[in-house]
Amino acid sequence: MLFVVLGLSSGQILADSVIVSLDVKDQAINKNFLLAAFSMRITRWPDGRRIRVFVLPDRAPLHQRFVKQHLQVFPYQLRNNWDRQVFTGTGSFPVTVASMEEMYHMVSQTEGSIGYIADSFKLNLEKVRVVDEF
Amino acid sequence: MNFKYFATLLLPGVSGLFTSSCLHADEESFSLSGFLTQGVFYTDNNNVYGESDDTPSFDFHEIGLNTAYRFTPALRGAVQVMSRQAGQVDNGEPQLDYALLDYRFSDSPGASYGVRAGRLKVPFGFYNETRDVAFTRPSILLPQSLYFDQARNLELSIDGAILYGSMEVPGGWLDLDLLYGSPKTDTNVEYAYLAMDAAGTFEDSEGYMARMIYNVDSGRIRIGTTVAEYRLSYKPGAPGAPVWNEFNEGDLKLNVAMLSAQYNTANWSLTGEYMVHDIDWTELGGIYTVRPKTPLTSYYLQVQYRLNYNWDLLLRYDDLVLDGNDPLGKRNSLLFPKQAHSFYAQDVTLGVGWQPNPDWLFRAEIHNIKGTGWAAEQDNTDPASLKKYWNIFALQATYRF
Repeated sequence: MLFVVLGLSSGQILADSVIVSLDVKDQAINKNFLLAAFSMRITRWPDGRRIRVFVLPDRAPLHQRFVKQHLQVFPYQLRNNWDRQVFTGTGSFPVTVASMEEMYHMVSQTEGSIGYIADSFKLNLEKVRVVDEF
Repeated sequence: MNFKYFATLLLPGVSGLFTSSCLHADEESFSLSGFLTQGVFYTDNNNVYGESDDTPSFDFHEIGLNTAYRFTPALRGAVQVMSRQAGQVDNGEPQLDYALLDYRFSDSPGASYGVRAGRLKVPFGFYNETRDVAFTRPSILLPQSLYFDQARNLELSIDGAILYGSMEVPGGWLDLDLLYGSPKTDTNVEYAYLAMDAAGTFEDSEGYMARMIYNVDSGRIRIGTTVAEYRLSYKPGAPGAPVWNEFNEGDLKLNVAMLSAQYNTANWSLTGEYMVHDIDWTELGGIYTVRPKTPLTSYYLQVQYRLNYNWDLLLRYDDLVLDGNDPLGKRNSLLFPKQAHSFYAQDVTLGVGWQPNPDWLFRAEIHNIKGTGWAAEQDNTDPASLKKYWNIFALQATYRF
């Protein structure tokens, strides 16, 4: 199902992109920041506002690829971190969206948000900021 | 300083804020999660979680419900209520598992740190904090040599405060937790550390713990160390208790030093933990006058293999020696009315997990065990009838939401 929605086949190699909402400006988004934010280990942008993290389901091919390539961890490690934090009361889950369209929509509509999209997705990217330098 | 009633005082405040805030909470800042687990245990000898000897025992469930609310970007509150039925060890009565306020002073990948206060999960080794959450543990039974079920209330939650932090260091990052508080004590703690329901009780308690985990290469390698010191103050019961059942007024002193290590690859996780746990009964005397101190030593080595999203396999060797000075229990069996094999346990575990979708997890495992060092007294009331060699077959189903 997801394969159809995302228009991807598992054999394709794509450079995926981190996207943030337009209000997120001049932030030092490097690899360490990305891993800490998507692990829900840090919860605020440098300006003190809440980071709102959006992800696709654990088993979505784009999620798997993004986590391995951009965060350089295995998806199960990310899941273990989230579970450990939620069930000890020390952190929360990111918001899971069902499709790349929903990811785009939520990041464009939510202040302080961060997510990711596949490069095959080229619709109206002006509503979000694409972060490439990290 | 006594934190005994701290969480109780904190809870009405936290829950009041929750109720008023829920009405206009957005999805992102309000959350509700939980899980339901049912287990079945069958043993060829001895009992585990109910009367499992030759008949399957269904006397095991874990139900948890938690919620959290972010009051400001830096201040967060979280509560979890838990019901756990486990043979005669846990009666299923709902318990406040944690109820905390968390204030984070700094929040950047370079250094983030803050303080949590209330009822907190105890940051001990890799698995203790989430030991009752089936999705977070690698097997149905955690390695009992380090995560003994008998002493669980002591290990489970603590009323107090934690200073926590996470900071970038060469090669990765460090996670730090410094805890001070009043550990929960109950009859199970008496069983675990006095081997009986004593005439008196542990009235007061105090403890501190420090854990540091060094995460190398994005957590591919994790190296941790935990040290802790607990004092449990024993108060004798009414005069006239039998000599074998009573102790002097004084402190039971517990010290723990633990090393943890894990190596993760896409399909494999190798984990090992080693613990030395010094138990000092000197002030209590009683039956322990003859052996006032012991170094409890334990370790396990575990291999997990993930075939794909749905299936995983586990192989583990777990070793417990209750008295490091007497690994075969020979001397101890002369001093106490117990068999020598009650002072150690060697457990080889083989397990399989199946997760057909992200919400359901099923596990099956076999334990081949020599020794009864962690067989719960509560479920095995006659120490003379314990058998040295035994096997556990366990099944578990769990659902999360």
